[in-house]
Amino acid sequence: MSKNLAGRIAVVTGASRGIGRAIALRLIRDGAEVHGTSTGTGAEMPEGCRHHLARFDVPSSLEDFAATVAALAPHILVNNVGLSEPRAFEAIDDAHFRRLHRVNLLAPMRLCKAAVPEMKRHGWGRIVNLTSSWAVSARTGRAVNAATKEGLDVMTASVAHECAPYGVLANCVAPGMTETEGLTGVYGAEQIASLAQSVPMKRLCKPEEIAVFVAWLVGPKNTYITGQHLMIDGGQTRFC
Amino acid sequence: MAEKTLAEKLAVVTGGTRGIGRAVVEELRARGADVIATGTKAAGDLPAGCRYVRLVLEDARSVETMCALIAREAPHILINNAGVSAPGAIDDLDMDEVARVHDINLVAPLHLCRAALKGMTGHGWGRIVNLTAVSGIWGRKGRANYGSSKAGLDGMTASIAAEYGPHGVLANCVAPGFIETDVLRALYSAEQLKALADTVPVRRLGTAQAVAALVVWLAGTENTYVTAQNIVIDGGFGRAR
Repeated sequence: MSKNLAGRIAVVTGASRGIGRAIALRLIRDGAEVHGTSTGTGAEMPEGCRHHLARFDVPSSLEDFAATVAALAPHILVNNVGLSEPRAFEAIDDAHFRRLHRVNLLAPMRLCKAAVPEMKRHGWGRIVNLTSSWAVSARTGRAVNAATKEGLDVMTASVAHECAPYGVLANCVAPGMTETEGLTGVYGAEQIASLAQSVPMKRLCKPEEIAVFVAWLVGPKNTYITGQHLMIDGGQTRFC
Repeated sequence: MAEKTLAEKLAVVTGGTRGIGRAVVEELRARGADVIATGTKAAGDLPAGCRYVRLVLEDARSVETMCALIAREAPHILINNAGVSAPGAIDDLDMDEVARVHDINLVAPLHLCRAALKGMTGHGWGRIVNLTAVSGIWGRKGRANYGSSKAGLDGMTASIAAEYGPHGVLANCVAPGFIETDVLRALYSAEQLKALADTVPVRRLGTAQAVAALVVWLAGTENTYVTAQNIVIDGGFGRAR
């Protein structure tokens, strides 16, 4: 097994479960020193992942963690935390909008800002921000999610443009429907089976499949892909 | 030393003797794949352990022969890398030349994919990567002919992904930006290449090896859910125009 991330420090937000957990585990496997956040005590973190408590809907907690990121000087930043919370358009109120906006867009932007100076100093940095295939293909009840995730994409592309001369590559990864507690908590088994039928590959994505893609993007083999919004969705978004 | 994740896999790479194709062949070999690579000359210089086959994509009979070989050998991986660039302003386009470029860049890959899909379905595993271009996504002055052929290739590839996803076949395109190859050096002077590099956010041209790394990742065993995509590898050029 190759330890191609040995000597690299990585920060993964939301590393206690789902896609973030799989990414943290994969980066640890590849040799990185991984720092993950959760809103819990740390007992729920994957083995080998250093724990940081952070609540991105709380401004002071975000600021505290941004200071931690600046001090850690990571080579790799994976902004995985995001809120979906589908809601009918007319039911969107200011508090709902602001919370999703803060967690999905402002927090990743703040952490990029914290991480970028040291990445530029290293002359090497990799940022991957997680969006969602539902940010690209419109869905009922997803207006705020889509707006914030699309904003995240363009923010990421701008960081990519600005930081490219310093060896810092920044991309977004948009997973399709993924077998996580987030999904199984919302849909029943029957609904999930019918969702899977709507994917050309006839199955949902596994968190580990996203993790291996993210690990490749933040690894030494990626030297020229930057500013992209990359789908890993079994082909679903592409088809009408 | 790369892990031999593609041992026991057979790959076909068109245009495998130089540039991006050559780098793809080398990366596939490093991963342990058996490789059949094509070129237009009678004989081709390839890394050890590769089989060379002559293939002229504008010659329907040559394509037919290659399809028969593919049907027989049943490769797990098909990389349609060979293509022609042929810049020209719309007003000056010779429609015979348009037909020739589209035959090479679009129709021939379609034939080769069709020939390969049966075997891939039989294996229950297949990976197709077709090389497109950023000018096939955003357009570029003088690229009506070339760009349209590459955009067509993307549409075709996504449709293959839709039809063959349930059979374990993933099909994607890779769209390189400005990559330092003989083809680019033939189109631009050294001075122009430097000026081009300055328009790229990372301030340099891409390498064939960087593109090959992406192509082989998509064609490999680690990719299990990325399909129907046209992935841009351009140092941020297209997104930041």
